[in-house]
Amino acid sequence: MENNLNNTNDPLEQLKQAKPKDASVSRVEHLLQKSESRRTGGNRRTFSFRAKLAFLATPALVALIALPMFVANTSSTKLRLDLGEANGTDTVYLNGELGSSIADCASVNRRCNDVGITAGVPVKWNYTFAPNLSNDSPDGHVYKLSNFGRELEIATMLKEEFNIDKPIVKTVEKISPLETETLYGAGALRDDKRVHVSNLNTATYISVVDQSGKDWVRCQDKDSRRPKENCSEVAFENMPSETEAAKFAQQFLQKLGIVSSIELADLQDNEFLIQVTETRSELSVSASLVLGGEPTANSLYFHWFTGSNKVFMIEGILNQGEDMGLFKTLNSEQAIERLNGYITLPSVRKPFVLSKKSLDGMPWEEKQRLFDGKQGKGNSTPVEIDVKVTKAVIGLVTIYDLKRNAWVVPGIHYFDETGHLGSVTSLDSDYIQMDEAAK
Amino acid sequence: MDENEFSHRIRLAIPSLDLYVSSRTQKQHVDDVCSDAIAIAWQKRHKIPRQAIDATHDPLVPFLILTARNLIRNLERRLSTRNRHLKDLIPQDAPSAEAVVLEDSNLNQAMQLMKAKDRELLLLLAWNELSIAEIALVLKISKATVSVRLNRARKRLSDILQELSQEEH
Repeated sequence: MENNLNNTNDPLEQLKQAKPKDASVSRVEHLLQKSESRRTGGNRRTFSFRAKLAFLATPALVALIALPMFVANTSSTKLRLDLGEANGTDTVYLNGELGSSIADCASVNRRCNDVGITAGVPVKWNYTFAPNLSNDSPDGHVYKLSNFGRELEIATMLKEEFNIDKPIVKTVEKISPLETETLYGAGALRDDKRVHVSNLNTATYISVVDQSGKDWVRCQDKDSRRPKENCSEVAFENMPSETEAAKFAQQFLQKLGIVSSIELADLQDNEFLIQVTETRSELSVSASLVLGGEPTANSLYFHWFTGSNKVFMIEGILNQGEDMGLFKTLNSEQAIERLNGYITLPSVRKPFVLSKKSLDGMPWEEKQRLFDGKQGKGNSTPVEIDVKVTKAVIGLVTIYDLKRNAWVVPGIHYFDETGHLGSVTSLDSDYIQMDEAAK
Repeated sequence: MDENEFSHRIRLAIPSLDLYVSSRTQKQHVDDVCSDAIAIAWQKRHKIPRQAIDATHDPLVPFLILTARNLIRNLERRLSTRNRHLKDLIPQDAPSAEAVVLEDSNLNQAMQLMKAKDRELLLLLAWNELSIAEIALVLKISKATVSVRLNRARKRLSDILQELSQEEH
């Protein structure tokens, strides 16, 4: 302190030197998600960017009460999904491609009716179909998701790879009546280097952080992106190229015995698709489980920040799917009304743009106009919205049952000319039992 | 305004907002105030000026800070009312320190000894890196007043640090 005073007479300079670190990426995401819940109705819960939370709270996502009694032989297949509303006290977290709002809607197994100022106002969409709309309904595979396993082995490998000088500690925690988390961790949350690997019912969650991968970011002026004067000792490094980053991820997965590729066509079930995205200050690689020829939404992510070739963070989900066989499905016209009854989560990693007719994609002003005057009138006066469906794409969706099992099942993603309207399961109605309250 | 562009601007502005709110209110309120300020910014995004291409500062940052400042004042009013009604239940000596604690104990102590208004002024400049004009906007005073108050605040902080340093010896 004395030195400080002697060296720097200007107290303002001392204050600048004492400026705390900028909020972390995960904190920024946390605040964004929290504000999102406020923006879209005060009764929403906070969502988390972290995939761990996604799976910690996945049980709460349960809206579909599934009693899956699958038999390998499709000719005598039995499947019954009891659909009902989730417990209102459950919290929902999801790290989905389409954002957490849809996850929230899916959690109650019906369309959102509490978006923004619209709390308590039900919504009824009136669908019409554009001519020549594809109306195929090929039978589809159903997959049961499970964790990857070998969590201690993975934690040990990562601890050595990242030179983490802390012992691995095992903790077991009951996170819900039906789910227990076994966590292998080295390093505390505030440590510069840490690894956590968890065994959850439907996934293995991995998180490794090495703060030194952000040294250059911390040394930059946040606006000009030029180095701060007192950070000259931090060397600038080029981020890896996209090819190098993809290779890093592939080598990482290879150590776990996982086959991966940047070409979807090369991959079979339970192999991983590598995709690279680059922003102004960050390079990210995602490794997504492939099922039925499609990359699923839950992925493992690798992040690099500008000015460093060290990976800053590896975080996300590893899981695997068991093919339970082929099941009969509905076509798009038959399944469309399910959008009014309940929606599911697209399990496919695709950059869907939300439709302006969906509540999540609707401009704020339009919502206000639609719901103006509807508040307080109760559920008997739904707001009706006319929608013309221009595209229906067959794909996969994710559902969860009350036993905390996760399933990837045949689905349909609906679009109008402005974007994605929502997704539903296309499994034949014979397999589905609707709870009256959820209709 | 393009929502993706605004979303990107929000992301870049959040660290500054978080820092300001953490330095102004207690830890348990930081998330709520920040998320409310962000939600309000989304609602009013069409009224917030765009960032000029060659500008180093985004006008969204002072907007968020100004909004958070108003939210904190409302919060403080609510809490003081509640405290009046529940004065027998809430310990009067409950800690009221902000969420951010400086590592430098002398600097920390000196900042706590500063008037709240001066403390806020100094932090807006040193931590949030706002310009004089932006600070004037946030505090709703003239630029000239900001400059004068800033000089005085600097002097006071310097004096307090000097005193604390002498006490140590």
